[in-house]
Amino acid sequence: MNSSTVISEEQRDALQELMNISMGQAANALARLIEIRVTLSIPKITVTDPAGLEALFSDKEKFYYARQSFMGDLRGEVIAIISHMGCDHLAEVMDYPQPMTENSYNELVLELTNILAGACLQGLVEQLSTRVHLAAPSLFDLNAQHKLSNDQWQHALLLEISFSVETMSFYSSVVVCLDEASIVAVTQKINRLLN
Amino acid sequence: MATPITICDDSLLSRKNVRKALPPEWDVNITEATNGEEALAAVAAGKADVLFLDLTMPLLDGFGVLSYLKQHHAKTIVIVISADIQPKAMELVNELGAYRFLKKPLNPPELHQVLTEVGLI
Repeated sequence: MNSSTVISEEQRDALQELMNISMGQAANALARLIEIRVTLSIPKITVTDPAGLEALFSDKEKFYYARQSFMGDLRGEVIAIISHMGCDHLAEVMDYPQPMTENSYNELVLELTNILAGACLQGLVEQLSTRVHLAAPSLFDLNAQHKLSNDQWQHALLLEISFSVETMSFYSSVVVCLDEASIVAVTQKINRLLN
Repeated sequence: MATPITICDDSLLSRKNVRKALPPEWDVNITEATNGEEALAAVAAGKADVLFLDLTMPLLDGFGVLSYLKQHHAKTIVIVISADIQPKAMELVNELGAYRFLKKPLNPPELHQVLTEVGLI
């Protein structure tokens, strides 16, 4: 299945724009915290299956992963992918005590997830005039207990955005995954915006 | 005479939103551009006395368009409409000669106020 069978080109364009606005708000939150300009990219909108989703989270050597699930008018997960090296640099800028311990890394990753993933999702939800309850972020490890695949995830809509900071090697991306019922809800809302 | 204006944004939704937000009494001739290169082509063709410009775009972004216009002393009035609301992005846009910066989602009364301030309506 490819994205055109689930969403039309016009809907994809609209979602991309909504994500662009949401990521702008998230980047602004991060930029104010670290007082450095964050570079935005053009959001990527794709439809994937559970295997495709898991492939996104397979590089534990280079990245930290954290997730926040949400429910309400829309259901799904928002996942933050943050580079290890980026965390080291941000920890210095954000005055985390050095040397970093495993606990302080975890704390930093969860804080960044709240800022980036939380703001992105809230931005999207507000623009769609929907409401969700966002759970606290948790670190995400691809083992059995954290399997993403289940019946709800035959297809997920992936809304991917990336942040980078030019003056340091920080890279993070945020992926919003929506289950099938939520994809229908989102496309209906978008049709209203387009009319 | 109708004022030639160009709306430059890679998103169709966003271009529609700008069109809808324009004051109905303003007599304009609208050209649409989907990236910075198309925007510069519209400027060169005399179709952009006023340019509504997005920042994050493929091929040539809004900062690139502003730099080019500044280097070439263009008389185009540029109003940036962007989701990149970081203070540093706004500063850069000002330094590059944009008249105003408007945040997305675009608020029509804000746009009208800016057009009044700049003396366009």
